Amino acid sequence: MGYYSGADGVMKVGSTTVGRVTTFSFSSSQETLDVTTLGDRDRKLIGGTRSLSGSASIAYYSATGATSGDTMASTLMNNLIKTGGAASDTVTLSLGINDHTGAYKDITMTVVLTSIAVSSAQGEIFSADISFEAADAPSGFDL
Amino acid sequence: MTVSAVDFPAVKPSSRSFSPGEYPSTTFESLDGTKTHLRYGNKRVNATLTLGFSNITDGQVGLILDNYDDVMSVYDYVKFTDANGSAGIEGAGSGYFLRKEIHDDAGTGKTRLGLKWRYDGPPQVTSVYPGRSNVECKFVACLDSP
Repeated sequence: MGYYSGADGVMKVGSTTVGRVTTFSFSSSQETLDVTTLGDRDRKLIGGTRSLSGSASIAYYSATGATSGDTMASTLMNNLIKTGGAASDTVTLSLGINDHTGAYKDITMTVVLTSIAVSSAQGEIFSADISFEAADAPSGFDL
Repeated sequence: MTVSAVDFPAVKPSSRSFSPGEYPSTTFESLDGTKTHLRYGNKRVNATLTLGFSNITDGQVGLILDNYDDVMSVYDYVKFTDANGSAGIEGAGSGYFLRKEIHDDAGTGKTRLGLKWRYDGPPQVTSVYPGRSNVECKFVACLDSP
């Protein structure tokens, strides 16, 4: 198979595969440094600081026999939302696909959770929409 | 004391600010508002030049700092060219009048009026990225005594 779809996508928190993820995405960007000098008529740029951010939507799941992967929405919420003024936790996140050989190709990074939006609506699955930003350079990348 | 021109390194600025200076004079204003103006010379002095260098390499920063030492440690003066201080100046219609305010056409390093550029304080270096820095250099044009 040359093309991949959502069915091939895999999201892991640490080494735990998130069982109820419905979407994930990430984007990488780079700032620019302007090195244009007097006399130039065209802007000259070099690459600057890189950043990486993304989001995911995870259905909230709770049932007898549910695995830690099934209940990841709750786990992530507990990483960001703290009672008693405790500091939030960073999370090691892995986003990738299983390729045609079944090999897992991914990007792995430590992220800071920047938001979690939870909504409950009639006719909708209760889910958590999370946003994150990488806390450093990716620790692994072989997509 | 004999002073020499020291070439400014071939680093083009990203911004330049120039003020032509003033004619030495003093104005006295009496209580009734009458003004008396005394002129001490007919040569314009203390022109100022500020050069901004954005995102230059740290190696280029080193060249500028070295030039600062070379010029100010012995009170020589800075010689600019089109490759640095006057980069980007056009104006053939005016006989390159603005460029001549920074350096003459004879290659002496002096301005059109014979003023000599010296640092008006040490270069200010701000590091902004690994290997890249912003630098601001301020110069004042001096009329040395003969």
